[in-house]
Amino acid sequence: MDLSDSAPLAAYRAKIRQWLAENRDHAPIGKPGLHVTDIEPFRAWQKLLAQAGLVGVTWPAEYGGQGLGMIEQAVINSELHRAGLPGALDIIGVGNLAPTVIAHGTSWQKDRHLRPLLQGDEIWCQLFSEPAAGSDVAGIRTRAIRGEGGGWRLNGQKVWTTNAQHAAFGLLLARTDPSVPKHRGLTVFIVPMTAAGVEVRPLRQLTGIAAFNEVFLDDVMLGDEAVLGSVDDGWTVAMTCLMYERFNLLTMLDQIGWQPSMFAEPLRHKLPPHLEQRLASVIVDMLAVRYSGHRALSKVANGEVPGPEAGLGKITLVDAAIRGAQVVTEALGPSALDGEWGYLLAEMQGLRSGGGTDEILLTTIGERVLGLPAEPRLDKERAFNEL
Amino acid sequence: MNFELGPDEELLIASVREALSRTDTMAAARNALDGAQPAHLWQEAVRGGWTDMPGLLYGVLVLIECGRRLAPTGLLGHLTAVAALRPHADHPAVAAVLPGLLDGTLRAAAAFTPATAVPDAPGADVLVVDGGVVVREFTAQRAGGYDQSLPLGDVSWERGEGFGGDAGFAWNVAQTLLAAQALGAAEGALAIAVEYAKQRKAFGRAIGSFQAIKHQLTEVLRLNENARSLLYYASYAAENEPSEFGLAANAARFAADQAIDLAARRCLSVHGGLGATWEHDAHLYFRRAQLTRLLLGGQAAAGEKVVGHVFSG
Ligand SMILES: Cc1cc2nc3c(=O)[nH]c(=O)nc-3n(C[C@H](O)[C@H](O)[C@H](O)COP(=O)(O)OP(=O)(O)OC[C@H]3O[C@@H](n4cnc5c(N)ncnc54)[C@H](O)[C@@H]3O)c2cc1C
Repeated sequence: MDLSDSAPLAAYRAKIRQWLAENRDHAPIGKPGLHVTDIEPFRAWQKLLAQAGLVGVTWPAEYGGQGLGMIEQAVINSELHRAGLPGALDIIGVGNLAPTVIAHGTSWQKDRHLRPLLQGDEIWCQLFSEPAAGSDVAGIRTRAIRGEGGGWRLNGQKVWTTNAQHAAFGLLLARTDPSVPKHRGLTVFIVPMTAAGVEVRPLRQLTGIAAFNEVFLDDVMLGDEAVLGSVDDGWTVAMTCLMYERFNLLTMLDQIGWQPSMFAEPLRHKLPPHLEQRLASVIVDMLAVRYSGHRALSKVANGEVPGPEAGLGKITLVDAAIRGAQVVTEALGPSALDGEWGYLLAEMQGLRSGGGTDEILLTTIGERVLGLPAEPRLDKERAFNEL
Repeated sequence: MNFELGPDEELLIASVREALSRTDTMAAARNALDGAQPAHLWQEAVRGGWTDMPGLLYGVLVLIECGRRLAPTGLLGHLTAVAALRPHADHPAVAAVLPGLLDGTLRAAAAFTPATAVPDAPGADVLVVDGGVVVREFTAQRAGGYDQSLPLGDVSWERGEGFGGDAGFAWNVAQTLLAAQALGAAEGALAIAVEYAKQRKAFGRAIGSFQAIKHQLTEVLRLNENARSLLYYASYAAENEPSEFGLAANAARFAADQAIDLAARRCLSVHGGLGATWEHDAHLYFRRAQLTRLLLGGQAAAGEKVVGHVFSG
């Protein structure tokens, strides 16, 4: 057990630290947090980071990545954090969507899409959830019908789509065969958000800002080159995407730049004694998320695929952050809700649903990690159009 | 960077499990509640070489296994005392006892004033008080019988010899090892609950397929894993980041108490009526949960220290 850097890693860290020190004046002011409204300064910063090899470090070199591991990514995250600088703008694109394209795309698709995504020139969004299917994502209804002379016609609606308002492309899950059970008739498409028939409508969130959207697809025509992976094998592609999402959960604390002490700092010299135990419990959980992240990273570095248990860290983090903000506001009084703490409370309670709800995560982990028997299901073996 | 267990550590765990499995410690814990002689596996500890551990992590791993089977080995007190003495091996008072403690011919316990309910004090040969005083002659009155598999003593003594040890360090080691033992029990309770949830049928299916049960058990897993991560952090900090050891040790203690509390209660309830019987092991874990959270300052003192360390750090 060793948290210290190997010699090559220490050299890598020193190089990153130096680059950040030399370039920090180009960084936008403030943190991107989970959502940004004015994206241009962050886009420019991503480009600079990408050109220096600090974005997509785990991607293969042929697509502009560095061919390095999660550990190097973690080093970059921690150095960005140490310097108080934001990372890449398009966390979802770089972290989840592009790796899915790398895993399942044709060489044309990779050549066309990966570099502009890496540089921040083209932002991507994930078009999975729908009004009638979120947790049960295999239940989506957006239809893609093959045209007579090839190509596809798409109709349907997506929702909760983060960054759709900024995106050049979206990775979309659609139903291509409703006559088979729900997981089998799905296909993933790469959709240009500028295509005729795509309409993005912002949805204002409980935080007050609109970071996610509704996306309507009305007779959107796509060529065959838009299909990612095989037709009717979209579930496999979607699962790859969710696996990469887990990769990202592992280093979540570092990525959003949070310290275990963040809820204690505002209460220095003014912590009412009756709140001490609750604050302790928040700090303990935040520390646990950090060191669980180190454990998970070590597993990945040892060649294991991250399991669903990474989701436990997300549950702990969201829960601790909400309790932490409540302790802070309780100590500082009602006006503390008007600023960052009120915003954080709202954002975190919303995030409880993003990336899998607690219930879905607990079910998946209970079955896959503890080996508890699955729930009986009514929908698995029957054709989707007969449900 | 590697923050997971390596082959050496896995090997140690396997050998500890093997050695402890030779005694039915769960039955002994139950029978001792009715007055039978409690088991004591000090001889296994000596045979296994666990009395002399190269680093805190090894002690943590051994105590997790002891906790899992509620096996009293004396190591909670002994390894705390040894950790306090080891940096002062040249001091005559320490030199007189340390070799015997390391090879297991002597057994030690670690008391913190007021020296009541001192873990592993009954039958110990040496007492280390507040991490800095060696006491050779003392009486340890057995204290409490609620969980006979965790022997406690109220200690009194006349004379001791100071060796300039670090009380804070010894306290942090004690918190870490107590947390490790508690986590082991929490993992043991979860394991039997999961096994039962897979087998027991109700309403035509295994009860573990009901979300209410599945989610409760996965929630226990979450708290257990949090405690485990913090125990690794404490073990790492003890040797590599001394300034963080206090924060890490107390955080681990706090998390482990939370974990065993939930684990023991869920274990009992998942077993239904069976969990409410004397013959079932669930209440043995439940007893351990109730007792361990009161020891060495209790969970609240650990919480207070966590906050204190963050403010002073
Ligand atoms: C901030 C934010 C950003 C998001 N960004 C994106 C994005 O970019 N792209 C995208 O595709 N999606 C995105 N989502 C959508 C997110 O993935 C879904 O909200 C989530 O999967 C839940 O789906 P749902 O909203 O349909 O709720 P539902 O699935 O309807 O769930 C409602 C409630 O029912 C519970 N429930 C559902 N099924 C079960 C079950 N089997 N057992 C027990 N309880 C159950 C849920 O836990 C929840 O409490 C985002 C969501 C949020 C909040």
